[in-house]
Amino acid sequence: MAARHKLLVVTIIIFCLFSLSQPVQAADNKLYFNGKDISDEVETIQQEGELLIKARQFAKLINAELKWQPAIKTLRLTGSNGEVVKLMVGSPYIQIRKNAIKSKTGLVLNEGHTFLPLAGVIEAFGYLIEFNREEKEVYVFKPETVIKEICWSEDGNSLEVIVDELPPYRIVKTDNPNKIILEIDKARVANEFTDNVSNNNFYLQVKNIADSALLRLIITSKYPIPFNRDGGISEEEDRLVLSFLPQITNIAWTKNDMLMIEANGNINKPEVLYLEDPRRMVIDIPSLMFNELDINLPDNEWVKDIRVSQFKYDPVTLRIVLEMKNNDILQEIPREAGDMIAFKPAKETVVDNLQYKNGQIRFDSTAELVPDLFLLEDPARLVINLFNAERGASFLEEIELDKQLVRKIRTARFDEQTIRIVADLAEMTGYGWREEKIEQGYRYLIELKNKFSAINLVESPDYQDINILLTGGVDYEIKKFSYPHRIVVDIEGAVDNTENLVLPEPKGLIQDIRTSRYELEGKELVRLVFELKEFNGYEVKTDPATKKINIHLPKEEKIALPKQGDIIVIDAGHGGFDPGAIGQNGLEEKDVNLEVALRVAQKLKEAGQKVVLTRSSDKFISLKQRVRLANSLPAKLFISIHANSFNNNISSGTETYYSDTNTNAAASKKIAQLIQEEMTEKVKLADRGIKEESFYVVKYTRMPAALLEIAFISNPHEEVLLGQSTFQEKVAAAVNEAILRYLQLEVAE
Amino acid sequence: MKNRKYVYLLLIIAVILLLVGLYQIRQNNQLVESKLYFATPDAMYLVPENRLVEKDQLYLNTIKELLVGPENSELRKTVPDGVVVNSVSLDGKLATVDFNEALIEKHWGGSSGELITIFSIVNTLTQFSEIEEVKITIAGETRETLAGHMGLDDSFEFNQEIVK
Ligand SMILES: [Zn+2]
Repeated sequence: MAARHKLLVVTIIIFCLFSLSQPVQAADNKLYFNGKDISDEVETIQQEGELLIKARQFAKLINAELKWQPAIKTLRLTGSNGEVVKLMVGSPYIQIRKNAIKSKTGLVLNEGHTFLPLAGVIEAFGYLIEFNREEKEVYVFKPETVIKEICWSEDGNSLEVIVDELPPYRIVKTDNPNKIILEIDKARVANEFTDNVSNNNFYLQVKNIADSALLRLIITSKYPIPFNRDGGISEEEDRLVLSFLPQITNIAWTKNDMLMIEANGNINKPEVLYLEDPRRMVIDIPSLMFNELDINLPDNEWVKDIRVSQFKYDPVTLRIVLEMKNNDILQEIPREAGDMIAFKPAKETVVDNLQYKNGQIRFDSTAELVPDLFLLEDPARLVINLFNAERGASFLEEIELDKQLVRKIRTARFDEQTIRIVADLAEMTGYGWREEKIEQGYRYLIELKNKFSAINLVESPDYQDINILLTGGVDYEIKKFSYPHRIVVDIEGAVDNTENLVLPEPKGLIQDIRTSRYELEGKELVRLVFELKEFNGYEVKTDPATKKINIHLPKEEKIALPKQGDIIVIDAGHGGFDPGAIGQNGLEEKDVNLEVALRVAQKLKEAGQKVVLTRSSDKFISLKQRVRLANSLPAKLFISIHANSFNNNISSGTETYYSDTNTNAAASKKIAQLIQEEMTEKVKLADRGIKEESFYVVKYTRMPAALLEIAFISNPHEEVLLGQSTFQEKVAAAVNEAILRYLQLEVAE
Repeated sequence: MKNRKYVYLLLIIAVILLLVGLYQIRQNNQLVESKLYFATPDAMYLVPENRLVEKDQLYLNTIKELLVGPENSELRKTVPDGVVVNSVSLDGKLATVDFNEALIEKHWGGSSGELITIFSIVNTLTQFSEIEEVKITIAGETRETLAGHMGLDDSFEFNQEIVK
């Protein structure tokens, strides 16, 4: 054979070997595009398990512009919404704007045509892809729903999933009563999506189930989650609402002779009645669920036995029956928290010296008591019930006054146990009461003062201030709601005279002002809503129980609000298309970071801390977004969680970073030290020490910040550890302990 | 056999071409000694290794040598395989060094892994008195980060702490 021929043969053989190494097959999948079978209209091939589609047909399908640059073997697709995707023959990477994702094959040249990996590319254009492997079917479609936010409802008893359009959804049954799984079809979360759900009792995970083109929202609670019986889920115009009820968590007779009832949510005002033979006190609490619990009833002189039952389901009512030893009555004492009520035995007492002075009704009592006060309308009256009381000589049946606020005060025996005071008011007025110790017992002062005197808006170059002025001190709570941005002020113990008040014209940041009456936990509240044009954070510049409420709104994001706050930000590194480092056995850093971060957050919440996670699901967020989020919060700490890596399998151990350029460098070093200490003690890997380096998230956060590198995922031994939940739990415990120690030190200072 | 002869012939030609190429480079260029910073195997420190580098396009060639990796078997390479340096440009005392996409795509990640890569480049370039700061770009663009920890918006100075 001539040498020339041999060369030819060798070339052919090499060529064949090359071709064999990358087998190309026509794909036998059925392909559905937006619900239409287009298998016959487009050419697809299968290679290395990747489904590839002819690039030109693909571009036509999604209305994209295609540019092929033969010189550099690069294909560029520009979508109708400006999406840009680049692929190069021979590179597995698909470049989507500035990011790159890896596919198995990349762009493939086949018989002179370019074929691109469908799954990787289609998602860049806002489509979702679903594989039904058994049926060999592939569905491609645009998500129909964007989930903007998941948050608690204003009353805290339901979860709202805010969407742009109502999707098909279902609640997935689970065996775990502490878990609710909500599946939403053809949905994705918005880029600006934030987790406003996770709190002391609940936490939220968002999982994208790519194969089935659905999004799974998993809500886990420390307790069984009770749904409202008739359909725990309802639809409103732009949201799905998951309603559930709080449960009773504790019932006990305390050392200081009080009956304590606690729940994992609001307890509504109970209804109390007494039954005879045997004497029983019945407490019916609406909208509270039963829960197996140990009743703590030590021997005492009032109560023989306590029984708890779910008395009714429609409407849900929890019944507590106390079997009494004597003819005593227990009365509810004023609440400090919505999730707790307490009763204590009313002592027999003589009330005396009833009088009215300077807007105050006052009387004296020989024993301590708890007046039960409420307002009645038409005509306006304030009613005061005094239990187990007798009237003294100077507790008159009638006092004529005709004062500005009170026309007349009448007293009467209401029933066997109760003396009732009724004050005829000139108009509906807020009230409050307090107790003073005096020589012969106690003095009770009931104040009739607090109503609105003015609401005004003050503008300065950088800030917009809202001032709410009242005639007396009130308790209030300020909340922020979204869509649209609103500042909501709930005022307790004030009368809604806002109708007679001239409300200021909305100006500056304020778009609209509304007022309403509202009931929460059995308390009457006046709610003021300030709708905002834009929101850059807010600050409340007044103390609790004040006559003047001031809310300070910065006009621009730049204006830094004070950093001091009480939120701890936990940052799980990487996420979404950025897996972080990857171990030899395929463990991805992003998953470890998230697992540990969620566990740390859970522990901190259990310790009573407020926690915000930069991400609570597998999604990408940039370093800048992480910092921006932390800086927008009143945060006192920022802890970033990572797993380390190097280009060998022997690097090992734990290290913690802080930055000297952080605005709180000394405190950053302290928390880094504490984390490293706790990790060395509890997790016991090689101690690489704390290090000063300007990593982005520890450098630019405006609060003490540290970055933990738990262990080396590139080290096979440590990779195994990082994947174990027992190990993750140990790490979380160490980080939690370090943070709590840091907070204690801070308090000590 | 004729076949084997054929292979020998090809090999000889290849070796000759290589030698001719090397000879030409040596003739055209003076060599100077540069420090290349490589990593200790525990990913804790950088250690300089001296190497002769062509004086023509000194910065670029120094980085090209850095990409080759250490001669000392006790040290580790600091930049992933497949990384190509496109250019090193100097503006005042700020050097901008541009790499291909592989620097990000093929990076092993980790805070230590990222620090080692960045400061091996930065420390290597700042050995030259004309360079005080170094900025790293990818395919001509500033990226947010190399491996998810360090910001690439910033420029970097010589890092003494990391040198053993
Ligand atoms: Zn990381």
